Amino acid sequence: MKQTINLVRAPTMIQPGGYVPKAYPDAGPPLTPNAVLMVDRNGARGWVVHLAWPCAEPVDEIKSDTNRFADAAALLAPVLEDTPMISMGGPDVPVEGVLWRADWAAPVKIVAEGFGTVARHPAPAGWTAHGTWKDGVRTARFEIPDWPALATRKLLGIAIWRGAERERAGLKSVCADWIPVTA
Amino acid sequence: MTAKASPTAQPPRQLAMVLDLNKCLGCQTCTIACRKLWNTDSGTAYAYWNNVETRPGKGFPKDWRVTGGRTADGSVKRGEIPDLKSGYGEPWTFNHQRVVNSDSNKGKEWLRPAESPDWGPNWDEDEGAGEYPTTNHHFYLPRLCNHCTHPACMDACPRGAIYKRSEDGIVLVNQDRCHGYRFCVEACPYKKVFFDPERSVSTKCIFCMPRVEKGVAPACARQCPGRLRFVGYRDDPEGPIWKLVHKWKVAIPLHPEFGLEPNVFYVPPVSPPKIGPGGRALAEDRIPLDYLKSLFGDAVGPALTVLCAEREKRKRGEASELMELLIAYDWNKNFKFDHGAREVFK
Ligand code: SF4
Ligand code: SF4
Repeated sequence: MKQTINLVRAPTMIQPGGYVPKAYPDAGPPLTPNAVLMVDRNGARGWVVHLAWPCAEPVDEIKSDTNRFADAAALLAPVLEDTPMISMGGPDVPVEGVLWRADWAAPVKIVAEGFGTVARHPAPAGWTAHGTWKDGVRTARFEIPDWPALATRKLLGIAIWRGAERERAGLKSVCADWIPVTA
Repeated sequence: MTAKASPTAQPPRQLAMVLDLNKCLGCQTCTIACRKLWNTDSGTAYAYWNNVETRPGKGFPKDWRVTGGRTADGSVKRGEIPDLKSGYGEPWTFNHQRVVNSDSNKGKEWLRPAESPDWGPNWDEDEGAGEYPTTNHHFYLPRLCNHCTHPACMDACPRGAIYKRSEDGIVLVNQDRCHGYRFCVEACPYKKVFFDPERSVSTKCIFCMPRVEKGVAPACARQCPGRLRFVGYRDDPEGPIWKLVHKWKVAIPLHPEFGLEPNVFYVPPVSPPKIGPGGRALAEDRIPLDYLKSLFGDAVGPALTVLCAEREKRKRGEASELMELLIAYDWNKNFKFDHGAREVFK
């Protein structure tokens, strides 16, 4: 399957802590308005996911200064039914996924039960993610040999962070709801 | 983009520090004591949990007063993350070895950084303000994390990675939870959280937590040759903090308008007089009161009045509990913990 997904600015009003909702009030369009999503099966249980989005200024490293943020993208899937996407799950309704960051050698597996609860784990064996940038377009390619949550629920969420715009954490562009996976 | 900050649940006790600005030499012993003890990671080579800046001046990081996440009425605003070059100042690399090995017969090599910096911590040391020799003035402002009663850093962290210890109110970063998002760096209006880009975590003053747990003063206070730092619990009527902050009301917080209720307090500097024609001292202060108010708020006037009155008393040969404490004849009285005081000399 291949489709263009319209993205929204992740709402800050519902994010934890007193600072982010007030310092970054919800306003304006997402910094990444859309992304092209391609999902293909890779063998009986595996997946290959391409995500491509406009990115004028790539950021691949953050170690050279105190105020740099790397480009990043994440894929999410609900573990259970009726799991909210926009808040990254909630108590007892976890989401899991994979996070690619331009400055990391390998992706990490993420598990969350709502905003602010993301736990990072080493990605399971064989999970890979590679990013490229060409002519103003960022592409991240994920290879996931076995992802039961995606195979079962057939729903995918995406999140994109533009490092040059200092997007990180809950400052991101996301799909407004789960995307049905038909592949 | 501004809105009032939310209050914080408070620990039962609070450790605090008072610094008497009338006695600071600007020697940076505190800065180095702290740095050598806690902050030797290469990723934070630019950072100073404790710094001493000249006032009037830009401070460290540059212009920190206006780049934090609070407005002058204590509302939340979007702060900035200082950059390495123009904000903090890049750490410099020196030609130590070449200087040591250089031979004065063949031409002595002078100590100098390899970089060509145009900003760094303490860059404007001793510049101050006014005209020499009549109105020139400066004083030193040592700064550390204020272990605020309502910490902006803690409020800013979406991961709950910053917390205030229940036993003594010390504000700490749990680096295992920190994901390096730096909202704390943005939000702290004192700019006292530092990001380690190599480890991708935030770091900050820990009020020498392992030392104070054993009744030993923080390194910055313990090493201060000026004996100007006082440490103890705010609610201990026998301790120096309660006496200076609550009883005598001469120790006041920096930028109270941010609304964080700092637990580091300053005894403001009593100004020397301006010099008039013929080199005579005038009845006017060199350090404008309005400048001090811009740092310490309106409480600075009454605090200076008490300080001057007690100085006069002492000059007349009368006893003054306040002057006795501030002069630190008995250094034991600078520090008071619950656990005894291991390091104190008799
Ligand atoms: S001074 Fe800054 S870092 Fe320290 S507790 Fe207050 S807000 Fe946090
Ligand atoms: S060690 Fe004491 S006198 Fe020296 S700069 Fe620090 S606070 Fe001032």
